Amino acid sequence: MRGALALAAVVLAGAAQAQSPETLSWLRKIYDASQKLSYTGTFVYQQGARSETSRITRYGAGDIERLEVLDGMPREIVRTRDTVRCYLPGSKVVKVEHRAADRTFPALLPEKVGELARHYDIGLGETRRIAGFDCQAILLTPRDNLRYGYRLYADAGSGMLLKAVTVDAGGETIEQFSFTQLSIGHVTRDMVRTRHSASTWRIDNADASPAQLAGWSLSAELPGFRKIVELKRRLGASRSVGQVVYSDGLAAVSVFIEPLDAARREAMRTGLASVGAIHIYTREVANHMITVVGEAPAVSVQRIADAVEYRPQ
Amino acid sequence: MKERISALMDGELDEREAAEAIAALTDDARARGAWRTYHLIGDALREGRWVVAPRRPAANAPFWRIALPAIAVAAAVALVSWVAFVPVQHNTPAPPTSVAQAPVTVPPPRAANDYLLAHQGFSPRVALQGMAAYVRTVSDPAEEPRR
Repeated sequence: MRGALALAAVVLAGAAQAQSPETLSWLRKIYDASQKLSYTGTFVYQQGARSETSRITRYGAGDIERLEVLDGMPREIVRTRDTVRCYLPGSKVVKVEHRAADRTFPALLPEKVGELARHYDIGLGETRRIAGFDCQAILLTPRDNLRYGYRLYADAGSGMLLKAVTVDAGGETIEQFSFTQLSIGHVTRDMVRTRHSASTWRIDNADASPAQLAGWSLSAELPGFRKIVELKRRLGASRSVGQVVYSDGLAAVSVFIEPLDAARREAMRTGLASVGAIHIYTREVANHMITVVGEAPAVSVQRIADAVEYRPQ
Repeated sequence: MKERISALMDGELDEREAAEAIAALTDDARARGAWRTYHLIGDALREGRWVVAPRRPAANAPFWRIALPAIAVAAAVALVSWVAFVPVQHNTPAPPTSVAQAPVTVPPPRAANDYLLAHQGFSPRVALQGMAAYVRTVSDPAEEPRR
């Protein structure tokens, strides 16, 4: 009984631990900056031994953003109010997605940010100068092993996110984004136009639309992760797939469901792959290939994948 | 008297002791309460239900030697499963997973960037850092070989 009482005490201590309004307002400030500011800058993305430099420009008045990878092939992504266009000069393909994330899932709105605090202990860290900006660190420490931790560094003045570090349970860095140069303001419409004349390129349009994927569900949901969208879409050139997304407000995990034919079964590799903070788990269920993709620890991605089940309607 | 009631239930009293205990049950409201409580506990244990344990009984009550630890375990299990469903967890282990075995490690699928691009649009990270989060979706040198 003593053990049970100790457990109860731990639970009560967790419930009583409130996040300070000041800390939560920092998240809100970062969110507002990402929605309102105009800026242009260079940042480095590091993942394991690899690093890659990109330029990002946001034209606030038109809500348009352009990302250009500066190393290797000049891959580019332009996001407007409605669409995300990904230009791949190597294969001369434009991939077109509907824009959704920051509008549909404002996890950082004041009434939602409290939910984040259920799964993360949110606190302030040190202040540090990054790319010439005096930044405040905001630390998000997961309350269980089902999500990663984050160290965010935001400009004290504007709220602009200068650096974001993803860490695992042992505190090891898994990936990080860090600006090396940034200027806020003074962005014109021309600066967010694509440099590619892609009129002859192949266009892969996702054609995503909300849908009920009849018969498909999870036998057990992952604590804290809720279904946020369910849709039918195209993936790549022609494949028609179902996509269901689960999120805890900060991390997201997508489940892709696509019918298997002989050729696809031949190419399918069942198991777990990792790309930086992203894990990809592939398995077969009811003659379909299930691919689960998420910026979450392997255990979370695998648990969602193993819970996918099909019950004929 | 509670010990006597417990012993009566377990059939451990001789004829005279049993008669005294039964007489006590007739006269004594507290003894009747104990009799009812013990039966409720016995029923609950047989049916797999959990009950609130009354005060710790005397050491010479065989029924209790089995029942108390069982109830304590049941209560602890109840608490643990309650803990598992409380959204605010602090330093509590994750609920046991049904997938204990380590997964097979494979290289990322050929269409990994298609999946990443499709997934990225729904990642709340985009709301924090805008397009910078998308760099993952075009950072795989395998799909876009360098010149």
